[in-house]
Amino acid sequence: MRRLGTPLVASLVLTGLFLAGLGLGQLTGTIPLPYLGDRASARPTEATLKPSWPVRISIPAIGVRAPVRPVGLADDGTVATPPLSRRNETGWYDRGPTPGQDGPAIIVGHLDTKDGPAVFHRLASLRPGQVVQVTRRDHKVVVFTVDSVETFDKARLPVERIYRDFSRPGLRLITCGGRWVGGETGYADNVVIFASVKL
Amino acid sequence: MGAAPAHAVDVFVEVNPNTIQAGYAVVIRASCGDSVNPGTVKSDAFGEVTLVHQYGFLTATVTVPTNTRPRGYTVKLTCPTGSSATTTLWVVGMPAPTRGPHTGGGWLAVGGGSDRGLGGMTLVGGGLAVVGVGAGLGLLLRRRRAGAAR
Repeated sequence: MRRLGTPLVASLVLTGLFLAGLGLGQLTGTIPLPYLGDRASARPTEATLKPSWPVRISIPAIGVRAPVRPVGLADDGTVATPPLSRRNETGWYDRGPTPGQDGPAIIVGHLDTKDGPAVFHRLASLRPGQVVQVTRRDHKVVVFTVDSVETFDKARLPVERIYRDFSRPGLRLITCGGRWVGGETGYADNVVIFASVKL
Repeated sequence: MGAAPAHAVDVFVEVNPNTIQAGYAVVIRASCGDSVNPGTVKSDAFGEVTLVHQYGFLTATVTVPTNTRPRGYTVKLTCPTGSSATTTLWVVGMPAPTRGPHTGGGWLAVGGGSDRGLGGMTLVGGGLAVVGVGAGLGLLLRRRRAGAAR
């Protein structure tokens, strides 16, 4: 025990410091933990696709793997969202194109619920060039590349840029961001990821 | 991009983009092979249009009326020779709300923790605990050694 003692103590202390450091890095956002999920056996598709509803979304860079279900419009005219009780679910706006068709497929997800983080809580940390994979009912996997990550006042979204670019297969991921103002608004802003298929 | 061209010996028609919001325009590109006379294109989405020669193809720009019902529409090219080709144009009627979706419950805002909270917290806590165990063990060993030396 005595001969083992000093190295044991030293390695325990060093390991502990390392772990704590890693934790601090995580908390401050300087050392992101690597994504350890599977690398989705995605094969990119070549051209513009026919319509097929999306069923799953995967964003390796921020550890998102979630089901996609269709949503329409809410009573107040905004794009509806999945129920808060299903924190890991995303909603595809079913009045627009499906992912892989020409045009912007829109997928919304919660930043948080009332008592915990939700599926898109790290969306704002995505960077241009990172990929988003959407699996469709026809089993095709559409690979989108992030073009930009932007924040807009929730009352004034840029309609043309978000909903009206049909020049290529596009994707818009939308969640909340900014200040919490509560009431009907909730968070003051929306974080929008603009992504497209790179051929 | 655009719809996969329907080829049949140089006779094809494609629509770009292959999906469009009702009220917006699409470009038709087609070929009737060696035919000098242009063909016509017909669809319930925009009616009938005669194509014009441009850059070696037959083309036309058509606008899908605002009130067009959302679904897939057949687009049919008919050449002067009688040969034809088809493709599909998907029309969507997608309201574009200026107000963004309600995608937050507020937990993060009311101090529910940073967005990297759990993993980081666990690591810091766990790491400090390991340091503690190491230090404790160190002290214990020292005391033993001191005891043995006496």
